[in-house]
Amino acid sequence: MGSWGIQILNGITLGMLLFLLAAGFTLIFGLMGILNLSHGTLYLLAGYVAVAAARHTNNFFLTVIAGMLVIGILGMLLHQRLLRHTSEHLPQALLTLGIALFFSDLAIWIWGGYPYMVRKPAGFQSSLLMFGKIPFPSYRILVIIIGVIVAVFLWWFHERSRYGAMIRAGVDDEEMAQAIGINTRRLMTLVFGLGAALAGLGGVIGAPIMGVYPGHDMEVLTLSLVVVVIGGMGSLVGAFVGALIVGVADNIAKILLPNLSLFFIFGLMALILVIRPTGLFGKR
Amino acid sequence: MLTKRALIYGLTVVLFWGLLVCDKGAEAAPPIKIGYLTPLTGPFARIGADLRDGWVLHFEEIKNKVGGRDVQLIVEDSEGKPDVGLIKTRKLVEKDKVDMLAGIFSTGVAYAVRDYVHNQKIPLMITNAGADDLTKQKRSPYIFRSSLSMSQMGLVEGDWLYRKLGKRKMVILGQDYPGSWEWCGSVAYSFILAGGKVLQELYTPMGTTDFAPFLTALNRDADVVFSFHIGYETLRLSTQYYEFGLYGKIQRATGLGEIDETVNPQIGDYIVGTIATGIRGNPDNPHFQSFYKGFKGKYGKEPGGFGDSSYMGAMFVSRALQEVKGNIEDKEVFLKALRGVKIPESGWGPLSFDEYQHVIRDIPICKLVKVGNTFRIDIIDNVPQVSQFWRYTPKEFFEKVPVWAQMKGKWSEYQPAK
Repeated sequence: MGSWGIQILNGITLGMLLFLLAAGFTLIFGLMGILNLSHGTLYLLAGYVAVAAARHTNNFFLTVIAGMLVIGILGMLLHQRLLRHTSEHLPQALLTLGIALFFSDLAIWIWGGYPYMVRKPAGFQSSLLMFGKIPFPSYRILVIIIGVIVAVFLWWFHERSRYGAMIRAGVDDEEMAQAIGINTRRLMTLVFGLGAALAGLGGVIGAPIMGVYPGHDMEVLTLSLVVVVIGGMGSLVGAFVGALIVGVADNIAKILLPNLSLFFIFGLMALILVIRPTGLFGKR
Repeated sequence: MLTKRALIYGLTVVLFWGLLVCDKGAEAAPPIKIGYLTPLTGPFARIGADLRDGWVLHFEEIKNKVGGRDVQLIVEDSEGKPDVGLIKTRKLVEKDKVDMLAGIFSTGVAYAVRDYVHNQKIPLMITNAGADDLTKQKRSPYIFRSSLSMSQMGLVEGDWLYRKLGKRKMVILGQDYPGSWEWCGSVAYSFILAGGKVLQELYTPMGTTDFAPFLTALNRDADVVFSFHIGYETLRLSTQYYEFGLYGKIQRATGLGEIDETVNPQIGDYIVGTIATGIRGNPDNPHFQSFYKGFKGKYGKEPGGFGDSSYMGAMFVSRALQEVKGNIEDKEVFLKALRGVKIPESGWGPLSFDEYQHVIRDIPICKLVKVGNTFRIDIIDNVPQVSQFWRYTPKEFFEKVPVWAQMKGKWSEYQPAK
């Protein structure tokens, strides 16, 4: 496997992190129509949770659980206390933007403007898998594996489980779902929590690669918005495919056109929107 | 209630009386006003505070008095943004009527205020911004610089890596912005001039989070990688450099900001052994020891290079003011005195200005080492008295040395003229 193969693996790693973010984003949008602009901030907060947790434990697994739990519960609280009381798109978008600004400033207040790096789990510090002459960090392989496991789980959850059926019913017709006895309010809070927990997972496992620093929230939010637009709003498969496309395209563009890499991604998005205005897998 | 109110009135009167009296006292000999422009919010707030603190430290050491006059400092926050920097500069000059300006962290702000300062004929001591042109093509009789210029460092470093470390094949891995092209380009130039080869140049866009594409593409035949990444990015770059198995295989060389106390507590293990240059006092020098103790004692933090250069700038200014007995109003005389300041002994070696008003000083070659569980920066070599023109006179420099920005991406084909 040549250096292009490695570049594609790099792209898939980034794609998996974006998928964790975009999956929650798209689930929330699909069910509730909420454009959650605080999703990137939840991701960033998970990074800070990882920083804090790493001070008390060396166990990366516990750190991941802590990040998912804290951010998941925070997501549920945000939905139950704030977002549930709004209904229009614009006020919701503004409210989530406000939440994003509040928490990113709170993070600066608590942790300062200085960036943190989180240690990789023991055994993955610098162990390398060789592909031909070129090494590839094993931690990134771990990230890819986690991403695939989450994708399979989400697919099962969404398509095969009872809760998934309820969510799909809620997406298709909320009133009818209520009429047949589904508590859509509780369902929404749960989905919001799940989406937030996924962002939390992404934030924790992304932290050893990207670091944790103010401003990172908006960077990842921008990319995951592109992912969701490319893949189609509300579609999990779309989020997965879109994340892979954006991750790989971003890596290849950085090598071929370093100054135009962001332009390249947005150009790709525009092109896909021209061909398929609903995104690759979007229904509406 | 009544007594309380009376008490408040009384206090107010007493306080204002105090102010009035103080004002009258000060009017007798108006203070010298110095405006200090530095980022105090935003991503460079921490560095901005170091700059301010270095300046304040020097003037407090001399009790804020020079030539029998008080020195008053007015600090403004540039936020590191050119437009804000210019507005704040105008405020300092037009509203506060400062006698001179100092500070400036970012090159963008320096260029934004350069013409205004030049036209208003306000002396300016730049204590950080390192873009070459500020004291070369765009020099002004009113602008001085006490810190460094990018190529002043780079020229020394590239040459040193070839001659003293015996490196022959270099990869340049820089941030994609003009200041970085200058540092990277000048390292490449002097490395090639000494006989080395530049195998590859990679420039990463500002704000890159994942350096994997560049680290994968990096030519592993190299024996030294010169990288230049200011701010947060160096943490990620160094971590990923390690992650991709490059650490320990290829020697790294950088600027001091990539290995100093702001980063080595977090990522020291990934960068031990890195060679760097920049602003660093000699820890065995008593002048530096007293500066270091003063800084650490007053602020509880390391001066970190930025405090150093600001302190140096303050030394230049206070000596010139001493020379003219505090009469800063006679601008020409003051500027002449400032140009002529020579500091034969300082914690950073002898200091003076060249004819383009940029500092001539010793350049330390530093290396990060690990001692027990902490990291330390050792000065392993010292290149004495380097001007921004390196081995050349200004005229030779402009004739012989290529323009850094135009050479970006072309160093691997560059052939030095015989």
